[in-house]
Amino acid sequence: MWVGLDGDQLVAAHLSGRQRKLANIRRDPRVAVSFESAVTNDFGLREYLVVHGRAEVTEGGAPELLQRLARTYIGPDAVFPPMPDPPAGYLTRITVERIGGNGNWSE
Amino acid sequence: MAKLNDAARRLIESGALGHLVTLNEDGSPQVCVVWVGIDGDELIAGHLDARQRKLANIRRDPRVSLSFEANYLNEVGTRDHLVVHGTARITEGGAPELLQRLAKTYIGPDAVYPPNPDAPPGFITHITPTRITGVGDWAA
Repeated sequence: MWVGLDGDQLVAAHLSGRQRKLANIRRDPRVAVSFESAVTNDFGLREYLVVHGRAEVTEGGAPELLQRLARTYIGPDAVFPPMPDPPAGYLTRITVERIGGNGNWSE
Repeated sequence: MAKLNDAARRLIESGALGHLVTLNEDGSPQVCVVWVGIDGDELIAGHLDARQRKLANIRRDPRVSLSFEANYLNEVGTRDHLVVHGTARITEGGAPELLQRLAKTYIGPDAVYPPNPDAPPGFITHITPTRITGVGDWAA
């Protein structure tokens, strides 16, 4: 999924309310999100970031967030969602609790 | 058991990194990024270090997920991805040989890996796919 920053939180948007991850988060908010880096370290291994945190699902705002993220994930002129009348959807907000992975972000 | 189709096999063998999710003792998720190979109908990964948390997690609860990003955008402008859900088991030994094989894909054809010539025999995780999801030609 696409991920943005909102202050100290990670945010992601979902147009469909039936996604399994939303039900999962409502039942158990503990999540982990991993990101591959474009950097390969001296051993030839790709660096990556893992964010462990607590997630919360809120209603509405998905098309606006997706449009903002599409400029990064697709391109500066991207229009997203592709349909004219998208549903308000849901946002997942993740409060960071622990940082892992392999790179300049792990301590 | 679920079968990996040709598209899924091509993605895995293209050098796409696997994001491996295991479950901690308290049920929270643990994620690491690993090199993944195909062995028949199973996915395999090699580990030199016996103290990795993922190995303890798999021994306690063998349910895992592995996700892979495709290196292209689909017609909607989103990136295809493959998720393999499965059951893992760990065997002893063979990690340096597997890592050397995978390094030719993940680093380059002339790669030598592990960099340490006295690498321990380590462990191999074998994953039997039980369900295949994601977005792409591999998802039902």
